[in-house]
Amino acid sequence: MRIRADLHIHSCLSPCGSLFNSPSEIARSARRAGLDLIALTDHNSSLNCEAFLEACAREEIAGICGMEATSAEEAHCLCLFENLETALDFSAFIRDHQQKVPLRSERMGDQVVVNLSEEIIGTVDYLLISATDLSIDEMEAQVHSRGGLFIPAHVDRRAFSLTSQLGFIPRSNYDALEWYHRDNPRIADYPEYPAISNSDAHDLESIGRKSFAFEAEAAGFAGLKQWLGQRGSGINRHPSEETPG
Amino acid sequence: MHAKIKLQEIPELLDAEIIQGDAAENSIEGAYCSDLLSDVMANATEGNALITIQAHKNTVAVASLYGAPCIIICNNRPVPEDMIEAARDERIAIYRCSRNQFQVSGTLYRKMLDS
Repeated sequence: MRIRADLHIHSCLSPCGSLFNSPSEIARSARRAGLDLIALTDHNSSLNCEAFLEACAREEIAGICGMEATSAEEAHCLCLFENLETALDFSAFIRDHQQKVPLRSERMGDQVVVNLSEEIIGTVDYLLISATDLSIDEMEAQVHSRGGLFIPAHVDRRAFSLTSQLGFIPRSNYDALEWYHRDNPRIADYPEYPAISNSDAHDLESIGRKSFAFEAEAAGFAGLKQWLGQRGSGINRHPSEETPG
Repeated sequence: MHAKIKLQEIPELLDAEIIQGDAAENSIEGAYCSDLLSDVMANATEGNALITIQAHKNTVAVASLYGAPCIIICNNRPVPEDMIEAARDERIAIYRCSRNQFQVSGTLYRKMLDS
């Protein structure tokens, strides 16, 4: 079946995310937008993923737990995991590697953990958008050691991307590259990495505004990983060798 | 070093153009030079000018967090309109010059010592 996915969505846990972006509302909006698969990717934390999975189950939409982690170079990277436990384990690891700038809510916004009923069950008191001390390569190794997917985010943006921070896209063990501009001619220069685009939604209206589609037996982490693996193993690089069907 | 430099002196000192002139403060007390915004967040102090090549609106957000009177964009990097708007809202001046971060830092540092 054809799966429509948006794998870059922020909730009210991200200081820049709208307080209306509860996991419940995200799942509802995503279903309305016609998406089959979504991922919750708050800045450097997966603490809202439990409510997110419950909300996805309720709305009958497939959900993936993840985060948008900040490397030491300040490149944003999508890190996606097979289940909640693994995501929370990685989240604790990232917490221990993040610079702790105290959150001043009046200037920086709120960072709230909520349950399925949108009740606040916790807050994070340090600024989640700050950087970790992990290089891109270290972060990639940590994600892959947990069986996760590692996808540099909005690689062609002028802030917090591989391009803005390093000036180029170094060849490494990425599962895909997320492009901000779907029609960027530079995509052709990186045939070994599947090119995807997501909304990077910080408010409900933006969910699904950008998405991508792929073929899999079912909407979920396993199907996504399998599709990315096939793409990365050369179909993209040698389109002429692609088998029909 | 407690000397201050008036904002209105900066364009001539650095041969800089005024991209956004409205500012809540009228002088700087020292400066911080970095292109890593998390480093700026952790180490810049109120009153410091921010010297950087990171010309985008996130820079304004970080500058407003710690209380920067102005942002100095080096190497004539293009400044996008949404950055200018954000700086206008936060009343943080933006200057841009062709000099690099080393030259701008050196010029401001010497001026501070002299005054």
